Amino acid sequence: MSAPLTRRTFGLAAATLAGAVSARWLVGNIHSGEARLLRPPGAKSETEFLSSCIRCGQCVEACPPQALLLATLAEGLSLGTPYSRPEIQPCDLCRGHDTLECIRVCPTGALSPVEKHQDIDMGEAVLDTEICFAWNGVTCRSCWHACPFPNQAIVFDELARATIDEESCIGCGLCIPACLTDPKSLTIRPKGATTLAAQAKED
Amino acid sequence: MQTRNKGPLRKWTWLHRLTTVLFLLALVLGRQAWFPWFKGSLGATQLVGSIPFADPLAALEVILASHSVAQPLLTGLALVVLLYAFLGRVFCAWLCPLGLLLEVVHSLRDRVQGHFRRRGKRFPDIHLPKEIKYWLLAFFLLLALLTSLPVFTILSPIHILAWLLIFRMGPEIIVLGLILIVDTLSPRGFCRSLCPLGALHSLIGRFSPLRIKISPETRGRLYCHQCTIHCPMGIDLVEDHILPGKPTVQDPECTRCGACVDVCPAGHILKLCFVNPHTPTRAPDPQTSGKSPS
Repeated sequence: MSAPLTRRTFGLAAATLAGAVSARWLVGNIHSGEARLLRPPGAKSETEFLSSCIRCGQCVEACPPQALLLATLAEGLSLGTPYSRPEIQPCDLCRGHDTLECIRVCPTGALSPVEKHQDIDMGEAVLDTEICFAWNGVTCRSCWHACPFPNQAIVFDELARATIDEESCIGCGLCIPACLTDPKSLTIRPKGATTLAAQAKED
Repeated sequence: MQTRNKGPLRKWTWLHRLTTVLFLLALVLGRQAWFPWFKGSLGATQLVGSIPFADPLAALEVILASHSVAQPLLTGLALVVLLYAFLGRVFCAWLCPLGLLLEVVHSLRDRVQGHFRRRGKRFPDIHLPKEIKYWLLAFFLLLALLTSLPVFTILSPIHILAWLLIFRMGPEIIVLGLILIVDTLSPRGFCRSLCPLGALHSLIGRFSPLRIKISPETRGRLYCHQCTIHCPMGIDLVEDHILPGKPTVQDPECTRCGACVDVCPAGHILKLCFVNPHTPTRAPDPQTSGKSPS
């Protein structure tokens, strides 16, 4: 395309530039960069993840417990990116596999390798002490049995009440299907999500 | 119902449709754990074990948006660029699922247009300039850099169609609806004039040796224009290539779909094959087509 720099070409180039700048403004308004979805292990911050994910869905296909879903337009500009809904199927940290499969197949580095499972940071569990059995006089340790890091991420105090250690909890969500209350007393707050947004989602 | 001359067997047309269907089938089967050869969707695919392939535009957008290049992505991009530099803009006719869908829409549109014409009515027939897609390509690459988001990868109807077939349905199907409207109003409007991925493929395949070769035996023939009428990309083979005496169709828009070869009633004038890029040019055909030059 070796078109000479005519007025028409110049006009189109200016229109392209102006269009891109106004589209940037539009995208900036729609998209807050707020983390709302629970991302696979090894995901960077939400902003970095959205810019480096090529939306190919290879992680969704590779996930052994099929814990990953491909976002639709209902999730806004996250369209085509992977996320997990632990209440349906949590990430089991690729039990029985040598590597975390989603990270292994990611072609763009949007999911980057972690040294050990403790280094994963998908988010953290939030416990609703109003409905949790252990906080309401019923002996229950279901979440503790399901947790990959019992006594680190979920700790029971001397009154047998559960608390989440935000530092140790990786946010896999294995505790959620195990929780016996209805509704579940545990939710996962994705990494980077503000407490307010997480609460708004719960309500 | 007599419309356009379809010829006996449209070999290339059916071959490229079959290739697209097989490619899609492989991607859909790749969703299953027991089919390890085609993983992923159109953004990035992992072929037979571990050969990475990347959609060149999606890869460029991700590189621009994230300011970083992962090794598998770079390998995938390099392989794809090499492949299409050699084969030309073949993706659009031979692999693109949206291309196949719009080809079907185009043939339906032709029939409806025929009905309208016979009743003396006009069917909307908007012609969009072909260079819009190059500007859209520049626009989306710039936008990826400005917003740090691969915007076309997110909203591309091609990806949306692939996700829909491989993974799940979603409200983003509206985008496909919009593209169908565009293609109803304008013949192959999206592929010809709007698709930035097609524009990138045109640029990559600019000097590919796989081309439609024009036999020198066109002198003194009657020009039936069937090739021009049937070209899905709207290339005027007769006026722009055969009459000026070009040895091949050098138009970057050509998707090597072979429709022109299929419909040519003379059979041997057009041929889809690899050509020596240094083929000498033919002498221009005499403009008066009825005269015998001998």
